[in-house]
Amino acid sequence: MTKRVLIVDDEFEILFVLQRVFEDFAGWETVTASSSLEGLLKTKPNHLDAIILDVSMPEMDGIEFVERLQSDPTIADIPVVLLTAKVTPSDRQRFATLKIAGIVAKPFNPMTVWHQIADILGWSI
Amino acid sequence: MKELKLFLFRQNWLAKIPLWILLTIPFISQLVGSVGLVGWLSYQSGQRSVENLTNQLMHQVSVRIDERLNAYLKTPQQVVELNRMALETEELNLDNFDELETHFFRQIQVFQSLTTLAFGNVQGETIGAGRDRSGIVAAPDSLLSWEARGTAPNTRYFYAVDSQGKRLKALHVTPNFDAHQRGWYKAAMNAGKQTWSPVFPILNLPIAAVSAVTPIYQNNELKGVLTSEVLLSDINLFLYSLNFSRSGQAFIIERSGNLVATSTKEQPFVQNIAGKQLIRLQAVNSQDGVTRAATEALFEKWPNLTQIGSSQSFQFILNHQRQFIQVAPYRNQEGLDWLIVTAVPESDFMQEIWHNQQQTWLLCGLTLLLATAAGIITARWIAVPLRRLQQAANALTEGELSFPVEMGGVGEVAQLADSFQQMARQVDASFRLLQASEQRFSTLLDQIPIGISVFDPLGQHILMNRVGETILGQGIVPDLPSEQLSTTYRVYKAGTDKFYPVEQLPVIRALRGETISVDDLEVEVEGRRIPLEVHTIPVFGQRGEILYAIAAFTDITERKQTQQLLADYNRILETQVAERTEAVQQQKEILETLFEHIPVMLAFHQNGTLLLVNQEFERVLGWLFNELISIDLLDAAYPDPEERQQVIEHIQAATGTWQDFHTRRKDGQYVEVSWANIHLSDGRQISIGRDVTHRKQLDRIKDEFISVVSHELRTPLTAIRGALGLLQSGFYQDKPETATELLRVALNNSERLVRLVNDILDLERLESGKTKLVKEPCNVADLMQQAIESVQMLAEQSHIQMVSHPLSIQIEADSDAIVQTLTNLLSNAIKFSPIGSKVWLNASLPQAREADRATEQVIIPPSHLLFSVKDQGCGIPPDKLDAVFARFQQVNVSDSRKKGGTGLGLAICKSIIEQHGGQIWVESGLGEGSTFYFTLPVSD
Repeated sequence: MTKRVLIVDDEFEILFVLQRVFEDFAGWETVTASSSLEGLLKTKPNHLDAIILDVSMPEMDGIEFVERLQSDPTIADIPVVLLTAKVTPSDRQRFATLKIAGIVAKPFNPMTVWHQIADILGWSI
Repeated sequence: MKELKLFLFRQNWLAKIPLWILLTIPFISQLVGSVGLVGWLSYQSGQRSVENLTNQLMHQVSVRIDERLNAYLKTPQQVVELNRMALETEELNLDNFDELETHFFRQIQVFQSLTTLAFGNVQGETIGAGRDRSGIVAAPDSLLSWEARGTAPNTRYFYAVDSQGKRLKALHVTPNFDAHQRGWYKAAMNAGKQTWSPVFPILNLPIAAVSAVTPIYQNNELKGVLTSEVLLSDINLFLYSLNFSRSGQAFIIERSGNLVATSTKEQPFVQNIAGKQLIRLQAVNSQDGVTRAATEALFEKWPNLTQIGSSQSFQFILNHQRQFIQVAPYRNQEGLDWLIVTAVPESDFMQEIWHNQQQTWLLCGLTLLLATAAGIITARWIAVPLRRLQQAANALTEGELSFPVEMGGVGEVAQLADSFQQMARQVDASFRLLQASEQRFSTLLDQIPIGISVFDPLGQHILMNRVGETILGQGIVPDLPSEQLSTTYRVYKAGTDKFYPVEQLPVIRALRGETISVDDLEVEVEGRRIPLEVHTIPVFGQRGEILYAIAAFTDITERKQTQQLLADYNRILETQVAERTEAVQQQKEILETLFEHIPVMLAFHQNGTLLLVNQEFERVLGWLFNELISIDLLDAAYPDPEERQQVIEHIQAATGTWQDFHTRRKDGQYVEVSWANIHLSDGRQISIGRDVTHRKQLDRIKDEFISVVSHELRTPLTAIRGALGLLQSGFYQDKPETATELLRVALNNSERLVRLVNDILDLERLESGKTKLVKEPCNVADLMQQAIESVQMLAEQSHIQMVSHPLSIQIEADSDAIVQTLTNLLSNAIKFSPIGSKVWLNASLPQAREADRATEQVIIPPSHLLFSVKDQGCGIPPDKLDAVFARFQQVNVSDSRKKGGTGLGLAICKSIIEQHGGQIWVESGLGEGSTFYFTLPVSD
């Protein structure tokens, strides 16, 4: 089965790069959202295998996204991988309480980032 | 002195008397004295007790006589009274003499002490019954009656009667009888009431009798007289029978001295000289010597016997014998007034006492003899061993310590001998000890490390120990006159070349009675001066005379040197102490100043009690010390129990390590305090606290800033890295559109990264002062024009109309920086303005143009130029009005990114304006557009 992932990031250009990496190299299907709200709206109808989530976004940030996601039992089990530029120790502390599959730091190597994510999610390549 | 000699002489004289005589003589004297005293006292007390006893006896006798008389004399009076009442009530008919006779007879039978009961009427008739006690007209004690009746009743007939009162025969006739002349009738007539007759003889015989009599009246008319007679001889018998002492007497006399009755049975009537008539016997004429003498003594004492009102006792001497007399009045209601006299010779009682006295003297004599003998023997028992002891003591005195003392003697003497022996042994032992002690003293004296010398009262040097010789350099100089002491021993006044004045030398003064210590004295020995300390004391005899003077002296050379050293040292020490004290005081001041002014919280406490806090402590927590001592600070500052427990543990551990606690102030606000607790050695604890609220805020802000900067830098880098990485893979060689797009992404983000880095560097330089603003005169209108030109392109792209009113005025400013500020503000305004709207740029001098507005929030100082950039954009929420000037604080981040903002532009503007001494702010409301203002000082 082809994996289907949702990518949420407010930066269009990063969204574009990630879409290319996942589709062209990992062979996953992608759904994109440029805000948390859009991401939440697209999660339910799309039978997702994972969500690749930016944190620092206006209006609703990634942390609130995770909380909202996990408060809805029908989608709460979807694994979330944070893909974020927030990498200082104080940032890491904030993420410690979240129930997420893993964190990948920005900037990333586009040739290996999907391996990292697959590892985190326990997917065979 | 004379008295002393006399005393000694007496002692010597007494000492010659042998002890046994000394012991015996007082012993015998005491014995004789006490025996004599005992005898005399026993005699005296015997006499006194005899006197007491006699008086008591006589009193008792008087009382008994009194009682007997009362009893004896009561009967006739009672019978007379009974009969009177019977006659007066006419129970008895006084005219019926037969009836009266029978009545009297019966009464005589009943009352045996009565001799006669009779009635005599006014006519001279009489009727009576009686008992011839003395056997005068019939046999003794025979009963009889009599009568004298008729018109001329002058003959009285006596009849013998039988036991029924019946007349048997006539016994006796009294011729020339006149009842009215009888004593009893006259007595009743005289008295007019019931009374006693005088003492009278019976039938002219010397037998005394007395009658109770009473006149009889009927209807106040005298009818006759009743009489009842008793014999006084019966009283004689009674008195005789008293027999109260061997030769004592009792008798009764009338106040006239006439005898009434006596224990000697002498009758109270005697024949007169003519021998024809009976007359009363005067007691002084009694045939009995005692009665006579006693009465004489009575009259001697009381010439008129009526003077005796109460019982009296006295003594008199009769025939060399003492007689005790007691006289007691006897009276009764019927008018008897007699005296009862009792007389007892002393000899009746004293004979026995005299007998005892003789025995006492005999026993005393015997006791005296035996005691004398015993005394002599005892004295010799004591004296002989004592003499032996005396000999031993004499021997001891002469030094013969081992003279034998025989044990012996009795009691304490034996103990004395024993004690003496012990004493002799002890004396012997003490003597040996004394010799040894002397030896030791001598040795000791030489061993004492000070010089000792002794002078006699004449100033002669009599003793000096070895040390003394060494110090003085020579020993005792024999027969040295005291005035040469200073020169001989070369004694100088210390520090001078003068010899020590002899009269002031310590020994000479000590011989005058002074106790002295001096240290101003030096001796010269072998050319060297030695300072000496000398103590002298006089030694007094028992009478206060000076026996000798002792001088103790030491070489004090070393001490003098030491004293000098010590004095120097003390001076140095004092200086050092003063210096140190000042230093300590200064340190204290420094510490106190530090404590109060150091911006660190300091609190001293002990066992949970706050002792002291400094100003910073009070400032940070808001409580004054006075308030702190009345509250539980831990409860107040750490309401959260968990936090409080941690604080308590931290205080108890007192490791000195720092730990931050969320601490509540008095006003309820929280501050972050970093505490360190330390134990002091005196048990107190010091808590040191730093208010780290601000630092924590800074830390947080720094963390946030780094996080934001990191994020802002990484974001474009992510895009660049990603795009370039994909391109490098070669995957997109056949897809030129995607490759171009990826290249554009990389380039775009590279530019963004450059802007960001530039802005960050600009801001950092501005704020750290590394970029020096070069202020130069410039024209405001020029600056505004430059700024408008630089955003002209952007405005045209967004179809924004720029409206500007240039103000031509010179200011002192860094023109590039001001243009940059204006450009930033204008480009922001353009970016956030809707297409086709307007952006205004204005500059004005508010003072010159008073119509121009001054904002509510900002006070524009005089001589300041006001710039404003106004747009018609979406506006800024009120809560973000201040935040927009902070770093990376775009109201809408993604919005800003889209418009190429770095989030640092306004922060840079703010920094530039503030460095020019101006202010920058924004006024806006959501949907109302925004107006950014800033001021700049106008150059003079």
